[in-house]
Amino acid sequence: MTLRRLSRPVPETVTLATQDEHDRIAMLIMQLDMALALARTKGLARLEAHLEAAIAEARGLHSKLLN
Amino acid sequence: MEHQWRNADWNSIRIFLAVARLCSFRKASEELGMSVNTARRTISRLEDQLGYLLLFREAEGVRLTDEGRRVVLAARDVESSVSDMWRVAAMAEREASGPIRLAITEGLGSFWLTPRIVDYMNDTGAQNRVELQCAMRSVDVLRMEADISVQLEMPNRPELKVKRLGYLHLVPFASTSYLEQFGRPKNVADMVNHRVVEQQTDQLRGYELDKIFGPKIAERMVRMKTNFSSAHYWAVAKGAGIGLMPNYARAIGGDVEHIDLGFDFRVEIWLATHPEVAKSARHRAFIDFLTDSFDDKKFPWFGADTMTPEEIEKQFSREDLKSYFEGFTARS
Repeated sequence: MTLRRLSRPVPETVTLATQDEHDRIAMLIMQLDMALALARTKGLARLEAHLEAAIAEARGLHSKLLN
Repeated sequence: MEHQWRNADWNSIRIFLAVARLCSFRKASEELGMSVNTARRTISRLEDQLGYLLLFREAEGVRLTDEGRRVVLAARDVESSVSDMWRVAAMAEREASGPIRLAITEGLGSFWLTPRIVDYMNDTGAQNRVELQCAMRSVDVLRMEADISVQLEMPNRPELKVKRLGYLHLVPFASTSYLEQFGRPKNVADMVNHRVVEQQTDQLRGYELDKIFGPKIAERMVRMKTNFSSAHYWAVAKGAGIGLMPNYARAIGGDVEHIDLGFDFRVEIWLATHPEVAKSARHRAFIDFLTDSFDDKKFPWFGADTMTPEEIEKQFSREDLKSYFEGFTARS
């Protein structure tokens, strides 16, 4: 699933202001996936469940943005 | 790019963070205690999985790509957030399983609360050690002598968190054997010819019989004095004289009879906690349990209105009362 985007200059520093909705959700999903990987490593089962739910929600939102 | 992270493992990210920080596979592998080849292979596999480069490999070391920089920022945020959560969760777990130190006046502690605490322990899987300190005096929770205090005098320090749990109604009782031997007083005036067992503690004034009968007669009437509720109960139950005891005293199991002289002493039951203790979840749960243990809707003898021993027995079956008080003494 690839989103067609307008090419933009790469900013020096990434901030909320330099990101569009797509960037923000992409970053969020990436961080949630990373957090899930870390939670698995540390054996935080309850946190895993919360993160999986959050990832599902973020992916749903992302699909909505794409369509 | 985000979907390729779905099956990422944290070990790869951890190696990548070390390489990015030290700008070198060699230095990172030394720090992590692994071979350079393993570190290189792990990052290459991660890049394959992601479908983009994280690092430029150059003769003088490694340099982050734009995507690599983005991943570093994201991963550092995640690492610190999850570590914080882990720390908070570990602290909460330690906090939840800590002890609860309760100071309570001796009679209420032994006769009433101990059986309830056993139920509480069973309900909570005995997660917390309960340290029950049955005290004759009010302990100083501000000085952390206990976490929670249940006492018969109103706490007077403004810093404390206080709450009235209920009332204790003290009425005259004597044993059947005593009444058979000395007769049953019909009114307060009849008391002059009777033996009195008096309980006096820091928290519980004596009966102040001297104010009613004068010091000389009062001195003659009081034939036994104790500061301890269980000794007081036994003394009355074994026929030492007439003593004031809680209106539920018969349910405890001793062979005692209520002597209706038309009065009772009402004493307030107070709960005091240190403000810091009140922030702790395990203490809050225990305070809820204590509040429930003195709830006058369930246990009306702790209500503001006087309930005579006869009314208690009318309202509650012998079996109910037995289950509440568990027969501290064997009924003869």
